[in-house]
Amino acid sequence: MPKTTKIWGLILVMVLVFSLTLTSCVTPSPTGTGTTEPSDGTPAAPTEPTVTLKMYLVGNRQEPDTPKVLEEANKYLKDKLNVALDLNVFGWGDDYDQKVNTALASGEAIDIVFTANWAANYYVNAASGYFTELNQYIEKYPAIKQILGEDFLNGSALNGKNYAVPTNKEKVHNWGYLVRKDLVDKYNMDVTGIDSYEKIEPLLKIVKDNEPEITPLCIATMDAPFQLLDWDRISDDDVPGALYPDNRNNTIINNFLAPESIEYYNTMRDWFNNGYIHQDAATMQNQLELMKSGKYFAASQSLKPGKDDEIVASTGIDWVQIDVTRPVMSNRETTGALLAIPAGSKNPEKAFRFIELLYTDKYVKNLLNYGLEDVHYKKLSDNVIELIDPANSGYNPGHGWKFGDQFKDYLMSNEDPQKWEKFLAYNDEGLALNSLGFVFDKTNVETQISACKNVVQAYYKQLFTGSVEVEPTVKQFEAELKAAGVDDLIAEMQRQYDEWLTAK
Amino acid sequence: MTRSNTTIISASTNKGFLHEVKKNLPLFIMLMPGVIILIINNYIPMAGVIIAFKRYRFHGSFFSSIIKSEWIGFQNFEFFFKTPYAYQITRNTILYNFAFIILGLIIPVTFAILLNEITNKRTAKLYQSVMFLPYFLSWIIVSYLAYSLFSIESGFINKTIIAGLGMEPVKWYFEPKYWPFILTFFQLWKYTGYNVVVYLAAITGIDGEYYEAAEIDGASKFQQVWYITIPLLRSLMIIMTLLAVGRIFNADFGLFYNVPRNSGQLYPVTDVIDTYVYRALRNTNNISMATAAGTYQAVVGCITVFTANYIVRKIDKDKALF
Amino acid sequence: MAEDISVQNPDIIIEDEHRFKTNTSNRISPVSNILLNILFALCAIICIAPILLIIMISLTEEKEILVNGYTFFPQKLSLKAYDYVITAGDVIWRAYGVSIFVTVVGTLLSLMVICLYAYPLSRQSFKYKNFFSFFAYFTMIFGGGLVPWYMVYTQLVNIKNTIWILIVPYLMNAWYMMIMRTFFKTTIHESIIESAKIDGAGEFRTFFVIVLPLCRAGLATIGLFCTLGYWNDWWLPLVFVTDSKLYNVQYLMYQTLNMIQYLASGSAQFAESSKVLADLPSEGARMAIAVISIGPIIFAYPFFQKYFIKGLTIGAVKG
Repeated sequence: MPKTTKIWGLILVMVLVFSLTLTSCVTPSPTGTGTTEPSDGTPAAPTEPTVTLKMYLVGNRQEPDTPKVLEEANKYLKDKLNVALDLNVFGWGDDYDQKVNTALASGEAIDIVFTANWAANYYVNAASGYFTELNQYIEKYPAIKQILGEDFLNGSALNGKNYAVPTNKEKVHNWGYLVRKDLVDKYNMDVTGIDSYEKIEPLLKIVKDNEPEITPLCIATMDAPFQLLDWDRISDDDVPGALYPDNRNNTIINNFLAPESIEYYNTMRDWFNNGYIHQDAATMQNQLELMKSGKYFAASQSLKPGKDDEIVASTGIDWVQIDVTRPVMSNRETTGALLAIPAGSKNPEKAFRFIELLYTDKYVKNLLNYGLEDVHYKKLSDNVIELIDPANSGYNPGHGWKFGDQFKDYLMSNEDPQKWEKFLAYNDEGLALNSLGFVFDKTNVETQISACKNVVQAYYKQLFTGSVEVEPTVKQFEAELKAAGVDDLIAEMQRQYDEWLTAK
Repeated sequence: MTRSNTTIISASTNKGFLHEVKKNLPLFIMLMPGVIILIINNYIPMAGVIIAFKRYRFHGSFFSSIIKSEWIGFQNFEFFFKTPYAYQITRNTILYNFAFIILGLIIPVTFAILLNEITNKRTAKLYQSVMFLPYFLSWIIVSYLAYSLFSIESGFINKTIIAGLGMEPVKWYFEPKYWPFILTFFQLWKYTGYNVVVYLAAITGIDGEYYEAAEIDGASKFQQVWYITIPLLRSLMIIMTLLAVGRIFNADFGLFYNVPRNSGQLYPVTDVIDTYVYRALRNTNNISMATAAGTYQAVVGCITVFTANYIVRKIDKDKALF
Repeated sequence: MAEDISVQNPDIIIEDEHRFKTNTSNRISPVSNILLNILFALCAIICIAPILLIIMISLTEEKEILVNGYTFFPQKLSLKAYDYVITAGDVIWRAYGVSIFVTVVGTLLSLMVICLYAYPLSRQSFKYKNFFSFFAYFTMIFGGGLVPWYMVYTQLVNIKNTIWILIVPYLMNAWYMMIMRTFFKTTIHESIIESAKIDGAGEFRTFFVIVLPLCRAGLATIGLFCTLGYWNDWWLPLVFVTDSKLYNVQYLMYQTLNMIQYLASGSAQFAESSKVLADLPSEGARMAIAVISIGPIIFAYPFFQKYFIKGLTIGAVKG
């Protein structure tokens, strides 16, 4: 054995030596950009070198004409803020989370990243210190706060600190169904009065009885009518713990085992047995894809005004929107699309001022969203445009909702001219939930969360689709969740929530 | 005898690493490119293992973050053990790996020997090329193919074979009992062609005179294989096995996640450490726990491989890994 | 070096012919031969059928896939799935260029590094062979995690977003090195090296002129593995490349397939999902890109194959 010990010793020494060398190698190198920024907010002196801001976004792809658009944008930005933009768009298949998270953890100098509750782990990364605190800038340059309103802006804050700013767009959500228009017309279906998920049953029955080729209800993974219960979740989709979505009380419950959910499982079991749900539903992977296939009649969806029109364009199938749940403003919207400044950024103030432009400057916003006038789009009137050859366009990124003030976007000729007015009305309609702005700190219960996630993952698909007998499965589900520490988890959620309520 | 040997070895090691370098300078120069790459690519990053024992929070740069983050001991490792599935995932990982190691040894060796015996070498070559093809398919594509076989409503097996026989359709993705076989089949199907290559190359390297002599002595084909080919392949077989043993706690994520379509009903027989960790840490960006997972797998791998290597050394020092 | 090897070649060919003689006289019985052929024909069908199926799906009309599922014999062929390739033409050709360059350069360099490392370890007389074997093997099971690794290539050796990042991390592979070491050990007898020494050859000369040519089968095997390793890699571009000009073919495929997974992983609930839907590749297109990602690498296989079963082919031609 003495030999092995020696080997271990050698390795240890080597690791230490090299990690020391490494440490000394990576003292931050001067980037050549001015570290002192004009504090008064006036345009920078011309002698100062232009700061390049590196921005990461998620989207379809890096559009081929991006360099052209950036060239134009940078001319403008140089005069305005003495900055240049380096825009990197990662595709949906690029594993944006992976790329951003690795870069953040290593402290890479990125200036602006797109993040959200569903992209690049906004909550975790903000809590882990990966993002710059923005409060001082928000105070100094108040335009964003004025546009968004304090409530909405603070919906994404952690412990009173803002780490990101949300896009100004629809601020509430509701749930409902999208159903095939051709079938609705063919059988003269009545789509009114459906104010809870199970009331769609008569429609499903009509389809089942008359259309053997069509599966009445489309379910895949989490995209199930379960969402129509609209649990106000405290953490991720697959972590138990939620409030009722109507402010009835402040008690956090296990939403997967609540009476309403079990009733839902039973309903789905009936529907499954009636043939309303596909036999393979529990292993289906993508609801959108299934909807596109034309073999399904109805699908549960998160809605907003004009959702049906939007989806028509992309599926080639006409849909009718059935609004089921009441609109609410929850943490889902306040953290639905955010821009943050990573802690590794060398120029946070410049970055923030650029972000501010996206809210205040109609030219910049539309340039990044639609490209160059007469190259990528034609203006039909002051605020209405038409894309030039959209299928082969060199710049059609669909960035509108990802940053800044979406209400400053030009409208397309085929869109409802009242689109923004409708959005505003929809926003006013929403009920603000009590939990708005509450952020759960997972630090003390990380073990329980990971265990519970695995239990939920093992059961939810069968239950959501009605593929298994409800009673024995729920029993087992409950037992395993208990073993995974769900009680501790929910107690911790409740404790933090109560504390937060008192502080508020 | 052993005692005096050890003293001599250690004495000479103490005397002369430099001496040895001087004596065998060309050999050390040969090692250099590999050593440098291993240090840069593997050994320097190993210092990062510390974060498995810390609650990683960002403080300015990665290094100051490592230093300033709070030390929490083994808390990041708890998620392996405080779960109702701890036993299940450990058992599955080890049993599958065990099966893959054994079958991944027997089948490729047998195939290589048999391929070598086929009279028409052109067809042998063709078989071998074709058997390599599955290696090129990613697990996601394989999972589509598997689904087209096993889908309950429209799968080939249920729709054509079982319906043809007039039996009840099988709910493949809900019946755990079939999956150990299905997964093992796909694993072998994908990698056998690849592993056969190693053994075929080794057989090519065997000196033909051995067989000639055996034939003159009247040895049958089977005897030739048993007494010449297999003993000469033994080194390689042992090395391949030892290499695999070190990864006994790691599973092929693509196989276990994609092919069963992440079906919850099947977890009792398809959930392995890698899939469990993936689900536990998805959407968390917790690099400390991710590192802890890797460290746990590596430590167990180290222990098993050391043990296995120790046993091999006892039997035949020359065939051990190190 | 290349010259030296060719000088050695005549001997080797003679050796092969010698072997072929023994092979032809020492044959298995015709009945066993038929049985073996049946066995391998079955295996071959199991292995080739899925590939053919994938090719057929990529050529089937999208509507037909949706209605009838996968079939070997579609009623109507269509090249529509490959439209994706045509519209993304430049991107695909570029990615092919990256893949081919990385594969060729990477394999050559990697073979060199691996062989140079494996050879000393195969030498009985080399005192530190165990230490260096362990030094390499240890890296196979133990790693420091993603972020430190990422740091090394972004800060210490800053080759992020260059072609080298797709090559350097895989240059040294402990697994292949161990196999190579075994090949050296079993093919090269210490006596050969000794006699070379007596003839006055230095270590390097011995290695390049005598050892490597004798281990052609091993070189071909490891060369093949390196080739496949580089060709099939999508992990390095995923971690290190943010410049889309450096994406390789496998990464393009990964992107396409991953997009569906990503949207399925619960992220699809975000409000604008419908916009993404339009770009979702059809099932046929996914299979088409799988076919494309296999592409030319399928021809690399016979190239290597002739080295590790060369003796066999000569036998067939002359027998």
